[in-house]
Amino acid sequence: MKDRMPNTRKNLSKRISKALADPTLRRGFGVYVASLAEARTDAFRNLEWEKLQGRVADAKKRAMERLPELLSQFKEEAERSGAVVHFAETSEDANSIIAQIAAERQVQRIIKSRTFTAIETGLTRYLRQKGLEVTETDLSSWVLQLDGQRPSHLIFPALHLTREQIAETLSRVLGEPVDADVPRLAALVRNKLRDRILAAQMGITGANVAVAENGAMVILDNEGNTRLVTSLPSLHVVLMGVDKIVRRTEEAMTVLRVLTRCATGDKSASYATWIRGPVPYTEGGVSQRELHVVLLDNGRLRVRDDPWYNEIFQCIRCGACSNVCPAFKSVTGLVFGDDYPGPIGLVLAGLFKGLQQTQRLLDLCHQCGACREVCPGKINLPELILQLRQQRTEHLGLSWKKKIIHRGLVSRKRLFRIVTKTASYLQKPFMNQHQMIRHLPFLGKQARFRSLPGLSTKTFRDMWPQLSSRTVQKPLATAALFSGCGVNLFYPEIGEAVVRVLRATGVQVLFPTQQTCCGSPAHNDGDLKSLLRLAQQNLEALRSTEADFILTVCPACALALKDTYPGLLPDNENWQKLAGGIAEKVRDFSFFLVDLLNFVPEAVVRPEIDDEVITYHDPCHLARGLGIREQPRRLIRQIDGTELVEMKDSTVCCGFGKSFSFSYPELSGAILKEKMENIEATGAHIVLTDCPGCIFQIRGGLDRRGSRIETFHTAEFLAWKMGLLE
Amino acid sequence: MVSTLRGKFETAARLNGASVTYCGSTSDVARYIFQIANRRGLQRVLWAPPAFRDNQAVMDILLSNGIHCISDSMRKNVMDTPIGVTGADGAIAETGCLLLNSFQESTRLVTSLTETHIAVLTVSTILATLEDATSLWDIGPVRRTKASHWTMIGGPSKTIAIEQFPVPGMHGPRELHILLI
Repeated sequence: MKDRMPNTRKNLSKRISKALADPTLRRGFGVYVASLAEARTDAFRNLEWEKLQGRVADAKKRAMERLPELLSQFKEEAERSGAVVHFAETSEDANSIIAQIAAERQVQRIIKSRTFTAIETGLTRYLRQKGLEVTETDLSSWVLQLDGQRPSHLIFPALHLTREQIAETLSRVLGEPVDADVPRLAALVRNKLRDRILAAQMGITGANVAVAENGAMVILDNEGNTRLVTSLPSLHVVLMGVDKIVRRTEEAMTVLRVLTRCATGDKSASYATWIRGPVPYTEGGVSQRELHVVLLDNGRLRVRDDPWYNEIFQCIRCGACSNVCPAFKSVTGLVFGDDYPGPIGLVLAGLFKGLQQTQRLLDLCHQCGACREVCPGKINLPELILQLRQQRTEHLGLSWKKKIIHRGLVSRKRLFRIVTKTASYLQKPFMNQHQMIRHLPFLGKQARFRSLPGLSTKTFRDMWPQLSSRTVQKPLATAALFSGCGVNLFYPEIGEAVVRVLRATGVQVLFPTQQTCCGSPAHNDGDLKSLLRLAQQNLEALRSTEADFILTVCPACALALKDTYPGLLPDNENWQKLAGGIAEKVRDFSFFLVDLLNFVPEAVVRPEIDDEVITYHDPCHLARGLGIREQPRRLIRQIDGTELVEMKDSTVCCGFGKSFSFSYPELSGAILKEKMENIEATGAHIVLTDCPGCIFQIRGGLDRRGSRIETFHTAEFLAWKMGLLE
Repeated sequence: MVSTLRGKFETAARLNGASVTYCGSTSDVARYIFQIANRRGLQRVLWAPPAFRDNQAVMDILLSNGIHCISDSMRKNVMDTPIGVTGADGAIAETGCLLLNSFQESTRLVTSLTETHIAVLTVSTILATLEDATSLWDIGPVRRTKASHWTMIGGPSKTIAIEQFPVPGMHGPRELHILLI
């Protein structure tokens, strides 16, 4: 396998460009990955997913907690059945143990079935340097081995290659013409490998699960090569991470039941091989096989005590997180991942290689949260990645750009106001007739995938004195608006719409003027210090409000106030009381109207405007973060003369991801492109959503594309339909 | 109960790519195996444990019809005999997979190196879910001091490694025939 260039931002950007420029990848990989995700959804249709997910997560978590005890139990049981169990603290240890087993028995020819643990330790290269012949036996891995390539997917490592590319590789290596026909390619690989398999003296596999109570191990496979690798040579070595252990057979069964469904949508793999101890052997005068098990630590045991990182023990390596990740889908695991492809790979890379080497990879995640929903081990991957970004800030510091933005600017309230105001005047020469900026001299070419909104010369705060002049008599409720930066600086008209709609409904709106940025951009970049400063400022601004509710129009702000702030100082009682009290009051716009006010707009609809086709984009933080999906749709459907047409994948991220879209504009643009195509396919005139970040991204993209489809916040559309805006 | 488990198993196994046939009698089983061998012009099939009820009777009928059932020198014979017959120790209705005690090497060779695997499954041994098979591991052939090797077979060997294009028969059998008795 080729060495990978260091994961600097420049190198990652280069890899992203290369992947996005590859037409075969665009046609193939993304489509296959999406179909695997769909197959997974179908596979759980008639099963209680959450119950099964809970059982897998619990089993793995329990095993992690008792791991030292289970490891010795496993060793004892496996050895009672005749196996030899080795413990390897590092990759180097594992490799040398296996090399020694081979050397002691004069082994020359080794066959392997796929295991990412061996990729983690660099086993194949190590053994080859010792002069041994090592042959991969599953189709994908063999092709990758012949071409010196890395795996792009956890379950289908050669998914990025076309049949033509595979035929070319085989033809070059075998020195004969090869037909690019899939069944013939498969037959060719089978025939070429058969002799090597029969002649091998040692077989190496991984294991999917291992059982402490009886020392058994399970290996799944579809092609049947694993069965040959475990059966034909008289010597079998299993290399597996210590995280593969569960306590009981029944728990292993549950893992299997969930694993294949998550990986491919199949109810069962073609083969699950359960091995316990060495079984009889009939060849060449040997009557007994030999079975060795190498248990690999490589940093796993170290993170058992880390309350966040230890969630990696709940991973069963099914690849479900990859299949729903928009960034992964666009650029493959060759870019999005390290030794292990996909979202889990970003996290594992940090563990196995250290933050220094892999820190930039963490920024490839745009925090859409899709992976969290499909993880059978209930791993909160997005949160885990945020935690790692915080560790990165702690140990390695912030990048200078982020330092200036979060610490130098946003968390200094007065300065932030002066600078944004000044910029709103300076930007004028760059704006077009739609008040959008299509070019800025200091943004690179790649950043031009979307137009940028201009900073409003009149912020929402500036607008407030005028808006607040009218009060509601005998209000139903009082709500304090938390505008967020998006609304305050870029889209004050959204704030205006919210105020007018609520007033028309009989709600008194307040605006605590000392509020500032919610801190979620700093949180997203791992800057806990700035987040804490902003949280303090906001809690101070909101503590004295008499409002019954705190109303948000941006789901990221809502999550910051509701979930993030209370968790920031868990041991500080005063903080808990204050942050907890405010968190309880937070409601997002559509939820407030629908669930609390039972809002019905029929009497006030602007009748002369009719027949709009609307489509709705679900913001990640609204749909997955706050669990709000139906409320905005109910608001839209209640309006006469509008037709709501659902787009494909409405809950898939638009690619904004805060600093993500500035750090990796090309990748962000690729994700946005798919979103825009889905919007266009509905034939809608207007796309509505409930997040200023999504509006920033989608409106900018559509403007850049020259599309006539307009993007609005649901509140704006509602206000307009109710005749409350000019 | 038994009949719903059977129905579930049949549906799941077919989805996995196996063919499932109900055989009412010993001679039905023999006839099925004969036809498969005959179609390929073969006068022999490989025969490996686990045994099933009327195992010997089926072998006798086949022999009287000119089909030899081979149970020895498996490593050599498996190279030129592409059909293998085994019983099954159980099955899982939900996932459609067979459970085979594969302690004997002949079982492993026959089920992993032939092109066609015919498995005879007794309907009453079908279990509902994978978790139900736990007991098989705990109290059955797994003696705490003895090695064991079990295989769950969920369909013919296959690959979708290239462009997700399905190809039956990669390293193992291309066809899996399950005969229910």
